[in-house]
Amino acid sequence: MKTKNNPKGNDKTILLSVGILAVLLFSTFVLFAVTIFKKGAIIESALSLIIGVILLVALIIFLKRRYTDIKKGFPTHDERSNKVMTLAGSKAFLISVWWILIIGWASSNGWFQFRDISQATGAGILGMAVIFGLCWAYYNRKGNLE
Amino acid sequence: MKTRIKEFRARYDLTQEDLAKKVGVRRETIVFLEKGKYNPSLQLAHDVATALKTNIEELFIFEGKK
Repeated sequence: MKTKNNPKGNDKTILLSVGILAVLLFSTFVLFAVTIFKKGAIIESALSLIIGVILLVALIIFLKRRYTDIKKGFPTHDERSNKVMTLAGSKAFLISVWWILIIGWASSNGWFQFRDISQATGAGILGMAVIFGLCWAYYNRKGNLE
Repeated sequence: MKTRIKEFRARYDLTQEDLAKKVGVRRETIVFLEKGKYNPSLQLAHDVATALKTNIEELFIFEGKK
């Protein structure tokens, strides 16, 4: 009996999905930066571009590592990586609830104002993605996953 | 939990990458196993032991709960 490996087809799908996600994310940040630049928000526009570039670089590094691993014959997932994903997902869900509550509370108390509902939703989703990324990085570096 | 994975790897002249390929796991998994920082499932422990031509009792030294 062998530990489960992903078939090659799944690996290709994962790489393609992450590639498409990288392009979509970067395009979103560039479009947002151009839109707010036209409205005169130069600092916010630059900040949006910087975040977009950081995300693109991070995803390219991730893709390159995964591609090298697949070429060398390593699986994209195994027992430990699945455990890391499960733990990161469950912890990120709990923290995300707090994140949504905090931005809702801060916004209703006038600390900052969202332009419209789509911007508020975007901030919520982006925060959730960042929280998941941080949780994943934490559990991936942590040795004992018990 | 302590392991003798490094010792057995050296015996068969295997790198961490070689062992990972033999077992069918990612290299990081072998790194954490070797450091004794990851408690494997019985299945994984069996696969690693088989790849190193030994048994679980020889490879993993259980110290009990602290």
